[in-house]
Amino acid sequence: MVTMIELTPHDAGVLSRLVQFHGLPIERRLEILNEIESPDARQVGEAVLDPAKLSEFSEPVRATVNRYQEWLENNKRLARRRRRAIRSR
Amino acid sequence: MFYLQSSDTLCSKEIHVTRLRVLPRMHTPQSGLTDRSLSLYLSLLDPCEVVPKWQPSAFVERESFNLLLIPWPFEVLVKQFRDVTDSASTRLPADFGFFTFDIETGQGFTESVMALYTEATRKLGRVDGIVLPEMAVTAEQFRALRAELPQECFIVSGVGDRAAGEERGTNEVRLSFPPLAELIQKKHHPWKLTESQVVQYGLGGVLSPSFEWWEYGEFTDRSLTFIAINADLVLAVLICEDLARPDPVANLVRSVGPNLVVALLMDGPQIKERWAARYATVLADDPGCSVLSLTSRGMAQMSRPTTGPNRSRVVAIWKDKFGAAREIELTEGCDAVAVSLSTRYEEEFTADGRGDQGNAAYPVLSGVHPIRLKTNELR
Repeated sequence: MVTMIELTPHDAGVLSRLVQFHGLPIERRLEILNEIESPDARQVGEAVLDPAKLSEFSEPVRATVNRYQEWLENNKRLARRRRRAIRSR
Repeated sequence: MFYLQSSDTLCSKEIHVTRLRVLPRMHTPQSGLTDRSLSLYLSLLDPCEVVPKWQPSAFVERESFNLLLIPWPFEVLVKQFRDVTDSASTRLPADFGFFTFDIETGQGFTESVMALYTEATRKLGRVDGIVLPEMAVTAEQFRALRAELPQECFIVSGVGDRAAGEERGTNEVRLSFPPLAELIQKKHHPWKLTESQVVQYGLGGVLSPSFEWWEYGEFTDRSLTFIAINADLVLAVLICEDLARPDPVANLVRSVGPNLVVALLMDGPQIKERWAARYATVLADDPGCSVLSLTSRGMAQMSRPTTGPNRSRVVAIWKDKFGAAREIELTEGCDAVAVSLSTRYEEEFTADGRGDQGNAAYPVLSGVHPIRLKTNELR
C-alpha cells in the first residue's frame, strides 16, 4: 500500500485550489503554487501543473496527485448528478 | 465549492477577523426571520471566541457514502471515573468536585476495529469513514488505527487523556482525512455530573451524589472545523455538551449550516426522548442540518433508566429535515452499525424569495446494517 504525502491544512487548501482551478492562466496557477509551504506538497503541486513529469516523482507524490485528480473528476460527476436531480424534479 | 485563501474568513485583509467573518453557507433557514434568512451562500459571523476553520478535503464520494459507527468502548467500568478534586490546581466550593475519566488501553482495539471494517466492507462493498464516540481512545490508539486503516477511509473519533496531578485531562475530536494531516478540535464545554446523573450511571461508589462534579479538562482554544468533503457536503463535529449549549458554537453552526453534524457523546442510550434527539431536532429544523449522534455501548449499558425498559442497545440517533428522529440500535449479537447516507436536493429560499434552484443538499439515511465481529475473542 502506497502512502500519500501528509499535507498541512494550509497546503491542502492551496492544492485544492490549484487542482480545481485548472482553467486559470499558468501565471496565476504558478502564483498559487508558490503559496505552498512544504517541499513535499510543492512536488505534488508541480506534478499537478505538469503531468508529463509525473513519473519523475516519488510514489507517495504520485499517489497524492492521483488522489487529487480522482477527486476533481468526482467533483465533476457530482455536479452532473446535482443537475440531473434538479431537472428530474 | 468555496476555497478560502485563509481558513477562517472569506473577507479580504482589510476586514480583520476580530470585527467580523464571512464564511460559506450550506443551508438557509426556511422558518422564522433572522439575518441568516437573507443570504443563500454566505454567512456573516459576529466576532466570538470560537475560531472557525474551513478545510477542504480530497475525499472521493460515490453515489452515497457508508459510515461505520463503532460504539467503542463496549464496556465502561465505574472505576474509570475518578475524583481528582484534591490534586486539581483550581479550588472549588465545598459542594463541587472535579472528576476525570481513564480510557482503557488494553489490547484489542485496533484488531477489533479492523475486523469490523473488514466485515462491513464485505457486506457493503466499501466503508468511507469510521466514527467513534467521545473519549473512545487515546492518541496512541488513534494513531495505531490510522496506520492500519486504508487511507481511502476517514476517521472521526473522540480522543482523550486523563487528568494527572495538576495537569488537566484532554477531550477532543480528531479528524483524519488523508492526505490531509490529522485535525484536532477540543471540546468547548465541560461535562457537569449532577446527582441524578451520578445515580443514573451508578457512579455513587466513586463520586458522591451529594456533590456536583465538573470534568477536569482543558477547554481553552475553542475552534470549530468545517470539513468541505465536496460541494454538497460540509461536515462539522461537536462533542457532547457542545451540541446542547447555545453559545457561541451553536451560532456558528446555525450560521454556516453544515450539511452533516456528527455529535460524539459519552451518554446513555440515544432514544428519541433524550436530550441529544431534542437538540438534533432543533438543528434539523433551523438551519436544516442532518444530525448523527453516537455514544459508546459501555456508557449506554451503564445508564439505568428510572422508568420504562432498558434500551441500552440504542447507541446512535439520526435526524434530518424530512422525518422523525430515527433510533439506531445494535441488534442482538452485533457490535457496530454501518449506515449509508445519500444526498437529497431541495430548493431553499431567502426571506425575500430568491431561490437556489435546488442546490441545497441534505444527507439522508438510506441504509442501516448491523455488523458483528466474527470471533468472540475480540469482544
